[in-house]
Amino acid sequence: MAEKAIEAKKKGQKKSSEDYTYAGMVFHRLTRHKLAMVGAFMLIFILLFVFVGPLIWRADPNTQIEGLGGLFNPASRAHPLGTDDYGRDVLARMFFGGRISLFIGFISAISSTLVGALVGLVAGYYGGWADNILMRFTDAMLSIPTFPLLIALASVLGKGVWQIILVIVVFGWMVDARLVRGLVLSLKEQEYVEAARAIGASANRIMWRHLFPNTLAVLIVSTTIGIGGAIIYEASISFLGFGVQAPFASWGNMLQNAQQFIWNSPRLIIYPGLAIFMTVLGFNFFGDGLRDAIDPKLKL
Amino acid sequence: MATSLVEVQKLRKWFPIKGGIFSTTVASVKAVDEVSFFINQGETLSLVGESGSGKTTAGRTMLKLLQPSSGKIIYKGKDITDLTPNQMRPLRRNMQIMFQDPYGSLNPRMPVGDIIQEPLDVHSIGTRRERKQAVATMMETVGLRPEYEKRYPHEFSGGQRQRIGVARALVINPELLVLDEPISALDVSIQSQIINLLQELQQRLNLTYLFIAHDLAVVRHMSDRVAVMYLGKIVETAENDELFDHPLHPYTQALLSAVPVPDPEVKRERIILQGDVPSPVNPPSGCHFRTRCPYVMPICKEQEPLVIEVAPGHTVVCHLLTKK
Amino acid sequence: MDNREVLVDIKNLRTFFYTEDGVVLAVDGIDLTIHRGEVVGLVGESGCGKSVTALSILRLIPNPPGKIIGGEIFFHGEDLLKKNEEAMRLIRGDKISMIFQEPMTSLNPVYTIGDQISEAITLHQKIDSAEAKKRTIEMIHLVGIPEPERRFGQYPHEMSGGMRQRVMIAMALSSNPDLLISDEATTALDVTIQAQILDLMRGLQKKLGMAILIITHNLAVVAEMAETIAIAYAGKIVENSTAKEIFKSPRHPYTYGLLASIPKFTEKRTNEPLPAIEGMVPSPYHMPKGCRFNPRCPFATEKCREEEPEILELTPGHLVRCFHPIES
Repeated sequence: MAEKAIEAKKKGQKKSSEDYTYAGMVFHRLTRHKLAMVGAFMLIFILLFVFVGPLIWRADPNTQIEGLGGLFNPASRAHPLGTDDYGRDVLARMFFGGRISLFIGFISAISSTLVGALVGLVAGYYGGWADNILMRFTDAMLSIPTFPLLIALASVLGKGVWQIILVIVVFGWMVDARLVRGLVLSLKEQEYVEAARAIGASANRIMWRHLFPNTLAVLIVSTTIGIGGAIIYEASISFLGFGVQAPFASWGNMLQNAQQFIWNSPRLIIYPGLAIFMTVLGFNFFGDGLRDAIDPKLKL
Repeated sequence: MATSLVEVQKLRKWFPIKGGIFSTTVASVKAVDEVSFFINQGETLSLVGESGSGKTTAGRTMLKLLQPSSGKIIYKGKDITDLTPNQMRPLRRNMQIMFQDPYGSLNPRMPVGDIIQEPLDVHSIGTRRERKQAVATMMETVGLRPEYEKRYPHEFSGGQRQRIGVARALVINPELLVLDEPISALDVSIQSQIINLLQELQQRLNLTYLFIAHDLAVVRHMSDRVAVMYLGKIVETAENDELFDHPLHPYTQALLSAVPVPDPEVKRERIILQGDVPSPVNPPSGCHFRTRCPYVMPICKEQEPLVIEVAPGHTVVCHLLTKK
Repeated sequence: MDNREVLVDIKNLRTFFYTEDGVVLAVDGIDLTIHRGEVVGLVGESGCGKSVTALSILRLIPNPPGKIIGGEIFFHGEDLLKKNEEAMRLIRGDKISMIFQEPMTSLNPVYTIGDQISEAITLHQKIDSAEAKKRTIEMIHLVGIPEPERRFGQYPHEMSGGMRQRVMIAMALSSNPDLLISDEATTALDVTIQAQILDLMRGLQKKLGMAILIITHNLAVVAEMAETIAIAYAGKIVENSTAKEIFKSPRHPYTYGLLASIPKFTEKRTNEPLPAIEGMVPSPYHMPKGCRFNPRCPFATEKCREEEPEILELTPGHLVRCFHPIES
């Protein structure tokens, strides 16, 4: 069959799905998924906004304009999105706030996925009492009320970007643990795992070389959707006052800050709110498409 | 048998069925129930039987992919029954398995070169370059182009995947190979290619095969000796010609008579067995086959028949023959 | 020559599948004739189009991606391809029935087998439920299941594979169809159970007189059951003749190669390798030019690589699609 593919390429015939590598096939399917492409465009726009924006519009996000006249300015040539309650340029704050929110979202989503995957992999592969202990621990963590633990952690660790990431990871890994454990339980029964055992492969090798790569598909999807969730989570934490501290901006604390000015200057809520909405939606659409693209049985 | 490569004695593999509030063992699936056989160096022993016979379980238990419930496994004179997985690891270089399912037996996320190389990696054999060379040689040996080592399993046909499976099993030069229905999932025209390959490799590399199959025509072509299983027990063992020409156990006779033959002129004398195979959870008392046997006698319900050597190398487990 | 009335006449059937990877020419010009009461075997390996042919007869091809794009299927003289869905529904299960390979997935696990057979009956016959139950028990008995009254209330999972296949046969034959299509119905069964089922089918065929189209890859099964055999390869029929002729003097290199390559159950073991056919079944997306068998054919010439052969009647009743058929 591979020979046929090479011949086919020479004749200029269209490639069929047999001819792609696995990654190539996923990419090919992904580009045909309408929702995923919409999501991808939204994300590309956001990324360009946040990383290229400051190169075009050079303003400092923390500089305050002197005098009361500089506060709550509407959109103008000097400040395309206006100024906020401290007279700071909103557009610049959107750029840098976005970078922080995306950074937090990305790092915490990946970290919580990896932690969860590790737990799920070990629990699923070993089974027995290891599985029992790990899963009961997972259940316990899921039952802990978020807010009191949040306050407790904050009082011990203080407030800041790394603290938020830690909190999100602490509250987020359980979902992936359950997901991966379930997947591993079924993958374990596949014949190629038995083949690996027959060769004499160690437990570690089987877990990381055989089981883990086959869970990647699910984990990637979980991560992309998790980023959206983490960004919203960061916004909520900042809303409660535990997040990124002034004068630094994140979309979350911008939103929090602006709530008191909802009558004066609704813009200050709309901009970060819209940005969060677009980012989360973009990640969700893209994640949906990725999930569909990865499942080879689904006809696209 | 001092000369046999591998021997199992009274091997049992029971799978517990849990039930009740406290998940105690309420019953067992007696998949393999006191099975004994041996395989000599360089020969092919076939285990034949229908679904529920336990042949697949027997093959895997012999390799200790499943832990035996009781009984002994002796490899080259050494008792390996109670070895731990760590102790088994060096031995696994000598005994390998080839699977039935060309689609499930290869990791879809690994390039086939890596799949074939893995046994060498696991046992740290040779340098990296030597391993790559061994993989390329092996691929050629089984009829695959070495250039395809970076491709993934889904890009190959069923027959080619089975070739990859053979390459993986043989790359570390084992002595013993368990073939678990290696051709059942393949198209008819490909089956003969793989059969030829397996036989050629056996001769070239002096391999010993345990061939598990249900297709009796293929078994007749490939085996030196045949053991027939029914409901977890071996009912008859004999050399190839002897078994097919003079089957003595009623089940063997019925089994052989049921095989259709690609010749419309031949009228088969069919022994049609009544009823269905009983459940391996609750096999019939005495002789397991008595519920379907055309020659059943009262003693068959009372006692399990013993193994009788009717002729050199030909053993049967049936009360009909104890009378003599 | 067959004196019986022609029941099914398939002419130049073409069924293609339009997928994102290309067009699959699953059935590309198949002709097949089935007479009243005749047992016809349709033999081939994966990708030959045999199952798609059966589904085409019953117009069960999923659309998209499949489409019957050409040909005619005459049943009692009427072209089935011109009928609407309503008319086809009256034919399916009534005049033409089909049984499949996996009885576990063809039977609904939450209904008793008695209910399922009764449903098949009442769908096509206007009788009340008591009468249907009576008829169902008759059918269960007819297919050789002991204790029919007790079995009526059993669920599929309570029965073995062989039993379930008998239930399928009961359902298929409950309305006394003219044609029974059996699509690999015994492939998943143990050999002793297969023998039982083939025996049953033979007995029922003699009793009820229906025609059977046996679709399988197993040459031995078809040798036992069929009067006429058609060999399919890559969407086309390559040889068609009586069972005796096919096995005694196969003319197409594929048929010849296939018969030569299967291990002979009745012969003593030799240590010779089997004369295997080289190469693989062509990918449905990349059909070879010319005769579809040419890459694997030991007798292929330049002509075979350029042109596709037509099917010709070499001797009366023996059709072969080949430029260089084997001498008989």
